[in-house]
Amino acid sequence: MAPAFILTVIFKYIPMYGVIIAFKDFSYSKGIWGSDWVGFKYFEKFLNAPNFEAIFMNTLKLSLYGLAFGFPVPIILALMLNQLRRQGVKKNVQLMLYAPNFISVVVIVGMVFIFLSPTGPINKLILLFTGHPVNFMSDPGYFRTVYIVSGIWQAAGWSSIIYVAALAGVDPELHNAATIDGANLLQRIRSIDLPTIKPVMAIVFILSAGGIMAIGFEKAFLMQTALNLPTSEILPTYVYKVGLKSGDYSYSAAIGLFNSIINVILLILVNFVVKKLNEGEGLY
Amino acid sequence: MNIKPTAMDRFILAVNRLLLACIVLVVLVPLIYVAVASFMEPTALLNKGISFHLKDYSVEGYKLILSNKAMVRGFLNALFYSGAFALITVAVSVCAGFPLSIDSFAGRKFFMTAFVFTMFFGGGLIPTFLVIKQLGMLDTVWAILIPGAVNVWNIILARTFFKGIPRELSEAAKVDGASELTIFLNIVLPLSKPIMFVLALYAFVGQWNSFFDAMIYLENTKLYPLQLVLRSILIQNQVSPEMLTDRAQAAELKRLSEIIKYASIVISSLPLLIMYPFFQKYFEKGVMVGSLK
Amino acid sequence: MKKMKKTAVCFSGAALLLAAAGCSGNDAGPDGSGDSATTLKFMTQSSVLAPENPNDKLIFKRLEEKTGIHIKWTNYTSDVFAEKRNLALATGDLPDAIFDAGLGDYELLKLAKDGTIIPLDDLVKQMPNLNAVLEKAPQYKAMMTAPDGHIYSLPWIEELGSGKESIHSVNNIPWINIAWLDKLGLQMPTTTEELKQVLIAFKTKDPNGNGKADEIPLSFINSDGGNEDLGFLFGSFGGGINWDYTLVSDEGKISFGPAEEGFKKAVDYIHELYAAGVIDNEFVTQDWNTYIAKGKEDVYGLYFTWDKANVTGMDSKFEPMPALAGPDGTKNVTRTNGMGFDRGRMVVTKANKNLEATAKWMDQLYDPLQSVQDNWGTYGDDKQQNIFEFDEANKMLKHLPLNGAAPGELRGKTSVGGPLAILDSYYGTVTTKPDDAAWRLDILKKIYVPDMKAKNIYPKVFYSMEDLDRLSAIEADLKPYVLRMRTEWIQNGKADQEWASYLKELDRLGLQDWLRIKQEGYDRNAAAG
Repeated sequence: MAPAFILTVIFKYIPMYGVIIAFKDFSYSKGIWGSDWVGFKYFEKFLNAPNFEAIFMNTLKLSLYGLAFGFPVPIILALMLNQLRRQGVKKNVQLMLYAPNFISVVVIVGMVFIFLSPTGPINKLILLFTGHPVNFMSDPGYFRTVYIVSGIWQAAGWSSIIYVAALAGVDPELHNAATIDGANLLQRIRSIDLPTIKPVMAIVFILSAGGIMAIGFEKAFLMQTALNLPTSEILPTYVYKVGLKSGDYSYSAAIGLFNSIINVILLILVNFVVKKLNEGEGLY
Repeated sequence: MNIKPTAMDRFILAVNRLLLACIVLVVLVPLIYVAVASFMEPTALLNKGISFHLKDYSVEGYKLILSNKAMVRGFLNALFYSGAFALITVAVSVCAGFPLSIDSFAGRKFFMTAFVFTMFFGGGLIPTFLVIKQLGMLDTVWAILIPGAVNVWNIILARTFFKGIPRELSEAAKVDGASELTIFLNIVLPLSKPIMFVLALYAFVGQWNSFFDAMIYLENTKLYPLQLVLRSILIQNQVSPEMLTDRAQAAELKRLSEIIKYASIVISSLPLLIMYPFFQKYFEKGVMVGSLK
Repeated sequence: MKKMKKTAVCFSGAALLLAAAGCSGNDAGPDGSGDSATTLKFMTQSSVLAPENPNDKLIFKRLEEKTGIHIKWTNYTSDVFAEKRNLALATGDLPDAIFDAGLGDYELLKLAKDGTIIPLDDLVKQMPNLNAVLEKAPQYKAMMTAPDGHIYSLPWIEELGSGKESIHSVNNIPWINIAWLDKLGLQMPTTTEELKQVLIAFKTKDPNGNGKADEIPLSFINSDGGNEDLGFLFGSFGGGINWDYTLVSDEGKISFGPAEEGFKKAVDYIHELYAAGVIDNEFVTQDWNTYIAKGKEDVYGLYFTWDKANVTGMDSKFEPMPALAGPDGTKNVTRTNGMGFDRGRMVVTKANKNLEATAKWMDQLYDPLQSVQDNWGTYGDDKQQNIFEFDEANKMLKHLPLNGAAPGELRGKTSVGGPLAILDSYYGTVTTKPDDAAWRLDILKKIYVPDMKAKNIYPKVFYSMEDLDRLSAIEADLKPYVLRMRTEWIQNGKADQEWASYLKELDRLGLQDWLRIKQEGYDRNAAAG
């Protein structure tokens, strides 16, 4: 316990005074304490952007849908993998499913463009059926789907590891006993496997919900094209364009704080709900 | 002794296998693309996609990477950082997660709040940098290994896992006169192998793929991990349309980055693909079997 | 819990040990070899192709001998430079100066306001070479000066042609496939209607002779008037557009290209082309690499870029297409507002205790022969290939043939960049022109200058921080909106229908403010002469 706590104090709490950068006009020579206090100026700058609402909704929707679709997949995958009898096959399948996690987002997006291009393989298939290519990357309606599906493709395998590990704790005797009692496979999964991993599921869900506003900037930025901006412009990319790159620490701190507050609210809400469903076991 | 499955079960298992096969296929196609692309000449790749003409193939990407001293060094550095980091993180997470899982632990709520709070509110880059600087850790490997070792997500996962270990085990041990420490070392830890290896794996890979900490805290390029070295080629700055001389350099860099793009992914993925089979046996069913006995 | 206490003590001890170890390992700072000579600490960036220690470059070695000043470099690769530079500035780890600082106007003003970088007015007075340059080309003085009247950074100046003949006047030259025109017996198009017919012929008559209808009559990369964008064609309908959308009338009035009637008519025309199926259907999503990969495949009829060498190759049968006359006879080559001028190339920080030596060193960079080498590369290096040879008799640098070396790589290794000045008058007296520049200048002069209608271009105004803030906030929404609408209209042809609501939206996003700020900047610059 102690080492974790000491480290946390040193590396997380001591620097926390920096949060006030969000309320100051950070000047290099004056440092954090000496810089002028500007109160909510940067928050206002950020909230008054002409398209703020649309951009905020885009961010929220992307995260929420991502969570809704991305959460169950690793679980289902782990349950499926768990049923494989032959260890050799199981091992190789798992390896193949984990590999996409290593591909950098730049390459993933590059591949997405290639595969979904109007002249790419997916469209060639679609052409056979409808004779009309689908503009995945230029149609705002598809942005979220492509973003989320490619995200699942990349991360689901890797995220399933934790569930596979948890399932390792299930005693096969329980399954045997249940079978004798006449339960079929699906029933057994429901009453033995699922409850075992329920605590892990709950925690992962709560923590993911708490990270909703922390969506990354890179992938959306790379996937933006002139036409899909109505859905692909999210807070991080917008903020980047307005000039974050010039080292405007106050502005980025203000935005960071805004995101954090939303995250905390969500976390408390979700924790409350999950606790109700999980026999009082949540983060707290 | 496994009881023979019923017909319904067999059907479901078959469907399961079929679905998994489809999923594997969907996942595999782009992966094969990456693997084959790493051996292809970039222009041919962009124009024709995967082709089977021998002349479109080249190992230039691999040659470039393997002959580049900085990259090889980066690879070895990253191995070291990731391995050390995994060890440290797992030790810290387990030591923190265990007490948090015991309901009778006095400061539980306090520590939990303290940890979770830091997940959302942080001082930001500059103050953290200053702290590291004042501790004299700048430009040393410790800046990479230590600050990140406390990962609240990991601690919480560890805690959840520990909670899942049946009470009876520790009760039984206590009856036999064992102390807290003995229980921890001799009973809980061996049973925690799955979670420890998961955390180790996640930590290793997380560190392997990361570059930000190294970028901020390291000066000495000999200490750079692989991802940071790769970035210097793969990431190009926006070149102003007026800087004509820079454009020539940018074009050259673009060409290089296209060539190594896919090969670098294959090389980066190697450690995991080699490591995982060793870890896999800890994820098998029934690890806990016999523990009650 | 006794165990806890014990572990706690153990680990705290370990943590302290670690910290201590970290401490001792860190003071291995390299001590420079600055023994008797003055030593200055500079921070800089370079491409990954260049040597890690800039002092390994022959140019810097010679400079050190010449000035007696030793530079201790902290050099970062370009991908990490911005972060490192900002961190160093923010945490008080200041070098004496930053070379190739890459600082934008806003950052310059912010650092100046802070006092982190110092005004250079006094230093400039001690720099004879720089003053000589400014005497020959006084227009740069105003551009170097901040709105508060001070100079905070040293600029990079590279003149290649001047006025309408400047190499920057046209960035997105249209290159048309002469081989195909000949094969189909067609003439070079002179009007927009003729171009349409030619493009349709390209599509239907299989000019590359392979029996497949794989020709892409017109290709471009969709962007705001970038080098590969088809913005050039807009000139046939009015003022046209350039990459910052800023047009200046002959009376000095600023207008926003995409808000003019001509823009709408141009988009209508391009929609016709789209409807005729002659436009590359990857134009919305393709990037540079895809664009040039196709270029090597003999499928392009007409494409746009700075210089055909990069896309289809120097030997390819593509020629620059002159401006076309629009439906009402308008023929105009829109001038860009580009010029070889970069403001924030070098700054001096408040930590500098040796201003005189710094001024002396910086001034050397503006010596004509030095400037030329800093920009392109050097001569007389026996360890690697040279860009130049030095003509002793005429005291002139002459370009050597590249002999197949990649220019980007060679320049990356030998040139140093940084602040310098190369004026048009240097060509023929101090240096020869690089071949690729000479060739392009020729094309501009013969084919495009005669059709350039605009008398004025927009200068490099140095805006105040508030203005810069407002401009970047406006442009973050304005530019993507314009591009999106243009792209939609190219595909759906609804420009006329949606024009009114488009103009309203432009205003909502701040167009009027944008125009006002730009106009004020222009007037301010014109008054300063």
